[in-house]
Amino acid sequence: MALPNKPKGELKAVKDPAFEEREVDVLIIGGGMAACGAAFEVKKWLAPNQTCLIVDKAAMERSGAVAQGLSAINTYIGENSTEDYVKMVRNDLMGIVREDLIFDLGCHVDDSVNLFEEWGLPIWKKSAEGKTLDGKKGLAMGTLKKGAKPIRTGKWQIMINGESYKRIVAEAAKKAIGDTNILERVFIVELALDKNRPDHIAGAMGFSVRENKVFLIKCKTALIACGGAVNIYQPRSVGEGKGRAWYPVWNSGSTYYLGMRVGAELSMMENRFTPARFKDGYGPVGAWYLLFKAKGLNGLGENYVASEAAKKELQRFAPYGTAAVTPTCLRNHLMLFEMKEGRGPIIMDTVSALAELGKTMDKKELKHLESEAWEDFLDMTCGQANLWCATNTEPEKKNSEIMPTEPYLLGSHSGCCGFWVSGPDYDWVPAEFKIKADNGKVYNRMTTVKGLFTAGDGVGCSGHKFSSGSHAEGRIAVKQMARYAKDHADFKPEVAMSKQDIINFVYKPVHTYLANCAYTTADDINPNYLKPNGMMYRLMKATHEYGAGTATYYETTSKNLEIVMELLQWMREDCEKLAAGDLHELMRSWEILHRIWTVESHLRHIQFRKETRYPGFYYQSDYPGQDDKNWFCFVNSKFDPKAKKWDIFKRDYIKIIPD
Amino acid sequence: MPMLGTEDVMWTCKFRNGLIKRFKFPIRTTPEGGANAYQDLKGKDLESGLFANQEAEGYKLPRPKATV
Repeated sequence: MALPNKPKGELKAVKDPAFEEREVDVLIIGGGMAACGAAFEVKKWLAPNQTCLIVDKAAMERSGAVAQGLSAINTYIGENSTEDYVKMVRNDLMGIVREDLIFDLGCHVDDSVNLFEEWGLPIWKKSAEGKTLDGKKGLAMGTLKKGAKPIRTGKWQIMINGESYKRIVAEAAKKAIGDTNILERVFIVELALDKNRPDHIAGAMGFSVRENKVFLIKCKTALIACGGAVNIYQPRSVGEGKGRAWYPVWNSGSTYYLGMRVGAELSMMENRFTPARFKDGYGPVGAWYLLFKAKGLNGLGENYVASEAAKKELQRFAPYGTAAVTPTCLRNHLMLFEMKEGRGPIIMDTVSALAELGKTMDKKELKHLESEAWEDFLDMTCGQANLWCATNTEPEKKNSEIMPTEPYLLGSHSGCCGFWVSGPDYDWVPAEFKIKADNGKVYNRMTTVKGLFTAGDGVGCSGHKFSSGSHAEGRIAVKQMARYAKDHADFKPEVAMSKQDIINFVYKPVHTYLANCAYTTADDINPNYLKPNGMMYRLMKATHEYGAGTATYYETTSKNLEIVMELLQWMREDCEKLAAGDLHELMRSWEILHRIWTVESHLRHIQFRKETRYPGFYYQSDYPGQDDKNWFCFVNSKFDPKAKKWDIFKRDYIKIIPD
Repeated sequence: MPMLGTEDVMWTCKFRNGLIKRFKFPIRTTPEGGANAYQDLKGKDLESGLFANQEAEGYKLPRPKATV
């Protein structure tokens, strides 16, 4: 006789979990750079009788996109002008951005970078002789705030020793908000609107990933800052490489899901980021291109970006393609162009770059250069260093392949999908970009749902914030939340669902599992349920093949989109039968649902925008090229939680900063 | 394999062919737990766009030099 079914995870789920209800004025959901910025700033603006709480799915010390560290801070304005920052972001994102949000961020980002340095983040400096000083040696030149010169790799990027970047930022955040206001290892899975005011946020519900406990946290105002979306497309790393990705695998699109489910308006969800990285290990290329001045070669050994064919190709996408700095998507496009013409693969010429730099160096300096090359990976993507070891790759002796990866959805890096939020209430900001609350006041970074704010990957139309900008944006948003909570002191949030309704909703996959698991002897196979792991493969296959994944060189068509939208609808239907035997599976069940909704929104936007705005990120082959006449506008969408219907529409682009 | 200290992280990288490389990188310039969270700092003007420490330092928010 076969043994009865047993859940595989260590923490078994039970039918009747404990329940805890809390109520705060300001709720911060997330634990990455934006949420840590909010946690640092919040109590500086709260009155003594106001309360706050930060809820993180993981542990703040190593959560979010910066968990593993970073080797550079990509946004530091410094000696540059904020106007130039806006123009750079605008060109990189092919013209359609919210310049109010970008300019506002540019006015605040350096303050966060200065704090990071003060807290102990080592920032590389330039000595009087023009040499690089890293670690504590950099402090000999003074701080950035006092005018010391950083090591710039590009106009906006500065080099750091950043293995512990997130640990340092989290330390200050945790101290500032206080231990009693931190809830770690709790996954928020759904927001709740107010019982009496269906346009107003009232709270969030979730569960502990460490014990059988469901939470309802009522609030006057909430911040959703849970990062972007990863593993919504089949990654290039499959099989034994599964789990490797460019952005951290725990980013399941929760930011977008949570907001869209309560009716917050999304913007530019068609935008995606397809980073070109060291193949299979996802090692960063920025330092190699910018700091070490390495060149990308095609399979014939040619510096393909300087070729006549490449220049001609870029002219097709003027004025963006012919700008001084080629937009990220078009740099990808050139790579794909070479590969499709039969001139692949693309190789990063590390050998020549290091040899060239080594010409003017003594032995000690050469050793340091080698160390810098490895640090670039070890500080942020140690899996790539592992791959170099596994393939006997010494970068001074052997070149490495680079390749555009699978697509990611995010709003803080070189992508700009997210929510349509209010800009700041300044006279130079167009009225169309200001969202008013019921008291007539404008609250910067508030979504179209009253009391619901976002930051970092959640804010649409304003990419290139990166780690520092996300931190600053969390601070911007939370000050407005404190102001909102003060202005709405009389608002008492009420949630329509009862305690048991919430438990049944959050623990539905557990209840499905427990009711049916005895029917079969193979835990993952059952006529009455399906496991999140299987659903993950189903989602990845569908988007990979039909939704402009790597399978088709990022191409899709109207017919393909029609097919994938039907598949996604069925996936959502089948998610009603998701089953979780343990807490890990319960987390995976909710994550896959968040991913499905997020990528569906992405594809709905691609379907609506009848042009190819971002060649190199994706191609709508029925509508190749850009159509400025009809599509030089934002595409926004909105889910109506009551009618369960989608609306998708255009909003005017308004230029603020002159060329 | 990493070894994390309070000021540095050390790595040992072992190649398939047996080659071993060792690296040591700085990770922070202050003692652990020493980050100043400005716990006593209280912002004054909730209506401005300034952070609490920008306000304390008298920072003036720039506006675009020209608009379209």
